[in-house]
Amino acid sequence: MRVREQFRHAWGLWLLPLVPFVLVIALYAKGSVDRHLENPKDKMMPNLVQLTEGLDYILQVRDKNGYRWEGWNDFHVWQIHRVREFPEGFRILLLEDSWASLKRLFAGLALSSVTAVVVGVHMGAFPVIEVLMFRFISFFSFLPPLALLPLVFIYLGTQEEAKVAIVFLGTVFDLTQNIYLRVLEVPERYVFQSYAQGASTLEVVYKICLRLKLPPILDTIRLAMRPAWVYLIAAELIAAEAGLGYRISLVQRSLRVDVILWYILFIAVLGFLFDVLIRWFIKRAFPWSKYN
Amino acid sequence: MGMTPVLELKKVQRGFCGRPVVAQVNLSVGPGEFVSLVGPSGCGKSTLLSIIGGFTDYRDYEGEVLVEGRLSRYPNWEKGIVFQKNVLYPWLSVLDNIAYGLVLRELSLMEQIARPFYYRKRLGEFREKAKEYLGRMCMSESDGAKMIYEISGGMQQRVDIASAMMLKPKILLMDEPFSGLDPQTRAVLQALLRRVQRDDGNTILFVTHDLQEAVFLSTRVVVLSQHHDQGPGARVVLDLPIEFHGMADPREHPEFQPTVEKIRRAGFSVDDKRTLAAVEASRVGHPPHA
Repeated sequence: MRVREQFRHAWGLWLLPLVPFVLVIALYAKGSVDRHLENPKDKMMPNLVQLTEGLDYILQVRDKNGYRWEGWNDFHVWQIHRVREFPEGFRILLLEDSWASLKRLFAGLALSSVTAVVVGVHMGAFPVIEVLMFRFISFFSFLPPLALLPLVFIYLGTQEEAKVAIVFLGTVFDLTQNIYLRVLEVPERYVFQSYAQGASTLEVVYKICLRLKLPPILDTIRLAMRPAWVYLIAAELIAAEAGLGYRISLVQRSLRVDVILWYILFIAVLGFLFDVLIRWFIKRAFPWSKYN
Repeated sequence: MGMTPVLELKKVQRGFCGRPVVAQVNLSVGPGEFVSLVGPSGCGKSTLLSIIGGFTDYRDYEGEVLVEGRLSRYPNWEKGIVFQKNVLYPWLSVLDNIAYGLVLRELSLMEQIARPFYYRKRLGEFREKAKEYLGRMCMSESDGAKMIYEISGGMQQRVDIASAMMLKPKILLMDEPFSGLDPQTRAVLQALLRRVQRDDGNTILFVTHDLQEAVFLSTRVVVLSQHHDQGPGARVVLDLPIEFHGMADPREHPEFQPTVEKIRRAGFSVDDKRTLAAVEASRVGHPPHA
């Protein structure tokens, strides 16, 4: 429900979304300046120069043995010889970390989405499955997955499986409940009419109900990416060998707030990008969804 | 010896919380009949329709529903249905929506998934058939190519009716299919429905609270009411065959005068221009803007 639509086409409206961003940045700048006036070497609220150092850190290139490559300093040599020599098998820290994190995130999310769709759709469609699963799902959805972290690390070790399991456990119960509710939302008349058109029960469930609720189900999965990030970063803070959360916990020991800030920003950007991507996909693939 | 009725209700009764809503309803609908079930709102019309359609669990009501003499407890293609709010598949075009009923009825889920070429071939046949009904409901080929959300509410209802009629159910149940539409569209759709029903000889049970509509469309009007002296629950209080189809204004016909009086006494209004408009539309042979 929207009231007062008349400002929709006002001039300069595109500036409006920037206002809160600018406000937050201004507040931060104020704090940073105050602290630097007190102590010019302050590291808690880094200023722009310190932030470029952080940028330098996160974009550092490492060779295949994990040693930092300082070949950027030989820029004048590149200019003379017209060649750029990156080390063999080189990696950029930020990309390496995000690739490691994204793999875990999507593995966990894919597992939980498939499980949730299978369980949730059948719960919504068949009362027997509903009775069988509903209490179980709603009971375990109250289990905080972060409390399971130690158990998961004990049972699954500190390898990738543990992180994927945490993402899975953190999202699967809510996803199942949401998908179950979406399927319950299918209007009765759709079920009745498709039966009256001669459909079998399987056709009603998979070809009508599931098809009709596919866009909201994808939307639910899109929203589940937020908790997935939360649990992934939390798991990585505790035990990992690479990953965005791991790097944050690592540089935290040397008080590199400049690096932490860049990583936090990058996590937000990644999340936002995937959100936009999925929304765009839903809009493109299901043009009918907003009319139904 | 009469013909087997297409639909027969035997002492159908349903109550909520111990209070009967529909009490001992006996009704029999012969082949080709267009029966309107009329009654004030809340009198149990929709409850009765839900029982007939098989959407109510058979353990929740008493009595029997017979289709062509056979007990019919579950929803199936023999009992087609059109609801007030249309039930269309928004991911399909208009033509495919009409054809989709046949897909659901003729092909199993496994055939649809595992035999893509066979599915394609059959879908082609179904589309040809759907095109015929598209024309009969006064829609063009270009309308058929549109998506469901691109057409108006009246058009959507036409598609819904076409897809129900194409399956040729033994009896077509219609639950106030025109009550969400504006009077003009409504008159057009009424005329269309009447024409197609006459041509195909469909048997229709039409639920409405609008007596004008019932009188214009049907060959028989059945009034269901809670107000009678046989205890609680709705019963059939009036069962009138109507023989003056196609009159300019049926209300003027001398034969209908006693009925008008009866209807007036039952508490309905019979003064409505809509009946006239609908008759006009049907007399021209095609609706004004189709």
